[in-house]
Amino acid sequence: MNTKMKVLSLALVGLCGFAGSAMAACPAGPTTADGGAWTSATQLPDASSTTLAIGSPGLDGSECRLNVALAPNDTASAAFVRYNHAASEPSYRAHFIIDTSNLSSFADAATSVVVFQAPSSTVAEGFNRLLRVSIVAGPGGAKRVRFIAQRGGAVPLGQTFGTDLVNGINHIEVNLQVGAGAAGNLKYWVNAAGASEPAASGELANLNNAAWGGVSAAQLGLTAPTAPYSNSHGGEVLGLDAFDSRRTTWIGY
Amino acid sequence: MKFNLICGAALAALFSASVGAQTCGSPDDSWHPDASGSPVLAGTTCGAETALISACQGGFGSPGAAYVARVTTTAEGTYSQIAVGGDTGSFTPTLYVVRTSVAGACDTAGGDTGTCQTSSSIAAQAANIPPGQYYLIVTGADFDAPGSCGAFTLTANGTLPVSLQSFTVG
Repeated sequence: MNTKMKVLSLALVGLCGFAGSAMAACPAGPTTADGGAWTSATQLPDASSTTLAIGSPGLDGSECRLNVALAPNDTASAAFVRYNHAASEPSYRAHFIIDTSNLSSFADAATSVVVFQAPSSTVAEGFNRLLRVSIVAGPGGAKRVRFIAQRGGAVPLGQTFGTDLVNGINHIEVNLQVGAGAAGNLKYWVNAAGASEPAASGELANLNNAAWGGVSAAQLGLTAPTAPYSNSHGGEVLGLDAFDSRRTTWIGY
Repeated sequence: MKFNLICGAALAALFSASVGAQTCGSPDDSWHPDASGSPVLAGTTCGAETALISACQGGFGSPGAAYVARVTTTAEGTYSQIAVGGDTGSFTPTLYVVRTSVAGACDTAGGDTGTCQTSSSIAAQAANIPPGQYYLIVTGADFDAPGSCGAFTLTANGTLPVSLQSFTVG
């Protein structure tokens, strides 16, 4: 069964089929108050030192995308949007696009910034989230993506996908199952195209994450930068687009 | 009788000797750089702490053994950064600075460290390390091959300084 929870696409279909036309309908901002689909937007320390704005064109052939950037030299800086689910979701899939073309080389091996979080309905082990997805440094200044899942009775479990991101548009998809013992599981796909579900790029098994209940929200954007990211990549714009979340079926691209 | 002795003087030669097992249970407490930054902390992660599988609460993988030192910084410290050296291409020493007081700091039972205060494979900035006691955890970069370990240096460009916690007289 394909139960679609919410399509929070930041790229709206061009009006009258005129993609790129001046008539394109991008919302004024990402939140519902501005015509977007997200519940809220957060910019820390303030809107003047960070970027969180609709840009054009989109990253998937559509009209609009979301641009985000952090304040330089401030590891508490954040720029993200959040959608609060009506219910706690124990079976959760999400897909989104990141455009890394404006991020300079990750020369410091400790460069990292979170781009997606799945907050939980219940706090457990001191954490109010089930999953973090981060951009981290790869060899030679490249960028990779790391998945950090909460585990019941243990510290968080992380895994970095061993292939560098392309300098441009990258597709990320996750399938997070919340449950006791081996029922708690994360599969992820990085730049894995397909109309049907391909083999996972990686998996974090035996998460035993039932205590967190389920995914209560989706948070997309930049937060929790390490000092190397904050010091060297503040002001650099990350593009985001095509966020979609579902309960059961492959989203893909 | 216990004194809190601010020690800004170097005790030895240019390079510090390895002291203890450089593990979470027995960290190297010997690093006391003076105003000139001497001595450099020179060590190897090979054969040190093997229980850490990641750093910064899962934020980075630890591909091999980690060298664990422990320092106490104070406001009187004159250093502005701790430079990390020893990158060989196949081993990229990376420094993770974790407050000893945070939950899970150098937690061998859980196999992880607590929230990092800061981190770098180039130079950790003093501005990101407020006065306090820290573990300096050096291990390979997230992208290094599994089992990677090797020699490294930590170089402060001034005094941290350190504070001896238990100095008994008489």
